Amino acid sequence: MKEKKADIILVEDSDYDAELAMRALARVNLHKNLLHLRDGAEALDYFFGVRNEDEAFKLPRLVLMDLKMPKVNGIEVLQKVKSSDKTKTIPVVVLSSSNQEKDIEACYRYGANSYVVKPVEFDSYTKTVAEISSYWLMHNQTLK
Amino acid sequence: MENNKQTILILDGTIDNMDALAKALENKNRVVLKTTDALEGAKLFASEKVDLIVTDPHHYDSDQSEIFDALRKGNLTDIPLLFAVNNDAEETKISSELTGHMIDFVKRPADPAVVSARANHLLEIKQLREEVSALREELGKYKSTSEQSEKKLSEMEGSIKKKDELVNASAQELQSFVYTVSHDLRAPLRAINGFTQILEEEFSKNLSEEALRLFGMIKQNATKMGRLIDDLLTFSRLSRKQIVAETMNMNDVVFAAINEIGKAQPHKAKITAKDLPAAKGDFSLIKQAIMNLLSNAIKFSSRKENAEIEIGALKAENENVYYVKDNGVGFSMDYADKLFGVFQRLHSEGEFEGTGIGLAIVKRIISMHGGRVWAEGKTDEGATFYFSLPL
Repeated sequence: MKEKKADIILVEDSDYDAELAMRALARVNLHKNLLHLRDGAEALDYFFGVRNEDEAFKLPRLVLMDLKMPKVNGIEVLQKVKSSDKTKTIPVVVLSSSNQEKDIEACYRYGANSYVVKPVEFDSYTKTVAEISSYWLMHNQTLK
Repeated sequence: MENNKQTILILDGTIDNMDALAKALENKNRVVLKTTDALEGAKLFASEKVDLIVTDPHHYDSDQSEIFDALRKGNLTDIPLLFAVNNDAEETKISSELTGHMIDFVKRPADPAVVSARANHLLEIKQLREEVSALREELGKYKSTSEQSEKKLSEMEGSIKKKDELVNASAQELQSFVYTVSHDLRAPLRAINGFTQILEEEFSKNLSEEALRLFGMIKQNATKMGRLIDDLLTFSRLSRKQIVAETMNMNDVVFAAINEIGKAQPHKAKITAKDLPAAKGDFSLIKQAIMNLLSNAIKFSSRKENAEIEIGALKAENENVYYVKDNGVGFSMDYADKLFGVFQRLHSEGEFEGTGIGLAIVKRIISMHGGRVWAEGKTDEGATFYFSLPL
């Protein structure tokens, strides 16, 4: 199954934001092995659900995740991903609309690798998402 | 003073005895009334405020006037009685009959010194009793007022607590409201901006110049609204921020502000900073305030050939006054009081861009430090913005 081999997981409840992120990644050619999940519950299911016992399952090399999402929010996903031995080495980049200190602090406390306040301008948005994604993908590559 | 004199009423059936008692008791601080006649005695008693009655058992037994009637019925207990008795039996009898009275006895033949001493003693007791009861009354009044005050106080405390809770609740509500606004308003803006740009870039071949210009306007506005949201958030966050006051070298603060503004807002203005006195405050907040003032000065002098901005300080009592002066378009003093309000702008959007929050932020930062802000200007002749920091 294709989705089990996704390189990048994008967790984003807004289809608009998801599309912008995917287009941003497309500019640096990172959009091909991308899986879009629509909320925290889907993300938890992806990482820790039954089907992931399947041998073909491969951990993604990068997670891009929104914070404010229905059902299970980004902080909860972050906490679970970063406290499980299986998933804690995956770089998680939080993409959020919030520039509130308490959100930023909480994310870094729970182990987020980067926190990006989504810029309103498309150019800086694209640039930021592309750069930070490339950085963590590269970083993850070197570790392996 | 006549009023402060004490009155002793002597009622004795025998003139000699009566006179002897009177002689023993008279002094300049007293009025001594005496009579052998029961009716006369009653009259005297009714007309004067009597502090002590001196009498003997015989008179007590025979007198049917209202005084002794009342005494026997257990009334008039506030008037002390001094009896000149002949023997113990009389003393015992009267003691048993007149319970609850202030009562004392002298044995006949009475030593005048003893009579005087006993009388003094009774009068003192009476006076003390009166004082005590006056104090009691006072205390009672005080108690009831203090009870009322306490009740009022606790009511007030209660309502203050309620108001406190309300204020806290609404502050929290506001905070979460602001948070939601910041988060949820930005997302659609990003989409508007993003998709407009994608349209421009990916479909530019099919788009006319005019269509591209219009897309540009959409983007500009979305971007501007993003900036508005950011500024509003900064402003609302300031009210919750605790200031970290330390001694700041204001030259350093200004240097940092000039540096940062140069990066954020490239300009051609010549900025000169004079030597500034140190102040106490939060470095990053004061820097922010100066940056906002500089940003304004740069903006409003941008059309001048030789835009000049000067940062300096004035001497003042109990405070340092700093200023940022420019030679830009200035403003009319008629509107000076409107400068520091949120969303107040004196220039149209077409003339100068801006969100109208910059100076409101300056004002809030300076107020948080206990200082003041004000401005002076003249249309087309530049503006000077002042802020003070208490020493």
